[in-house]
Amino acid sequence: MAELDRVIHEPARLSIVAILAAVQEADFLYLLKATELTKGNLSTHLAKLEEVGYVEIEKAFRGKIPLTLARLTPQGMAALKSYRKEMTALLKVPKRSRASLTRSLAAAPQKA
Amino acid sequence: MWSANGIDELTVGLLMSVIGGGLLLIAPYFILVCALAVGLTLKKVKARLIFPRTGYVVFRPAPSRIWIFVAFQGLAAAMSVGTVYWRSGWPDLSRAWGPGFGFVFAVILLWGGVAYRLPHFLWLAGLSLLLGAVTFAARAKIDGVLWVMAGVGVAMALDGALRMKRFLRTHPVLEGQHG
Repeated sequence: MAELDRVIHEPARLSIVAILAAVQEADFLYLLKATELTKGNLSTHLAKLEEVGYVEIEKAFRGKIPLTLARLTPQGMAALKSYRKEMTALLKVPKRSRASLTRSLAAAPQKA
Repeated sequence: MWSANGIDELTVGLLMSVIGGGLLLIAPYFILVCALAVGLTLKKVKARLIFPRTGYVVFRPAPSRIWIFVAFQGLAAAMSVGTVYWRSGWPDLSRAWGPGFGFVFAVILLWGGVAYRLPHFLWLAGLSLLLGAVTFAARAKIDGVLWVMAGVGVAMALDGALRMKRFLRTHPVLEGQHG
């Protein structure tokens, strides 16, 4: 079994990467609302994703309001695809095992 | 939900009203000026009212198959109308423009309503059919298309405006959220 990408495997970062995969770019506020993380948490996870090159951060200003724009890099998109593939393979239970599991569950005594 | 703020309905509705109304008035400059004004105004509305509440986001372009479906509907309608005119021996069906357009537009709205789970598109589809029938009863010819377009456009813009009003009331601006 291939090693899972620990950077993406973390739920909060997975959520950020999944959201960014669906959009061209999004600002900090949008990600904050979509992920329901706290500001500090989101900042930390974005910094980690930027550090490994999965996310590109651009600091700008809209008027006097600071604007933090985030985009998924091609490397980040490839990492997400690879992670999804590995997880799908991991969760795929062979048919025979599935049938045996179903039989075992059916035979097990039911709790009241 | 992506349509919760009503901005898309407002944009499309206003543009349809402008195009339909402008062609009815035979005022191409009116269409051009109004379309530009609508575009610029809604861009400002988005930046000042919507993005501070939802955050700024640019979605990836819609998959091309949506446009294939829409183009196919338009092509089918155009071919039907063209055939009617080409076969000169056929009865005069010029009154069918309004109901025809109303029907095609209703199908598009119905599809959009079901595919994207937007129930308010269903009553707009009903209105499109109704307006098509009204233009037929009123013996409108090709201008029936424009009446349907303007009518559905106004309804869509009103719907979008109401949705936006509700959205602005229920989503206050959160200060200092930009990290």
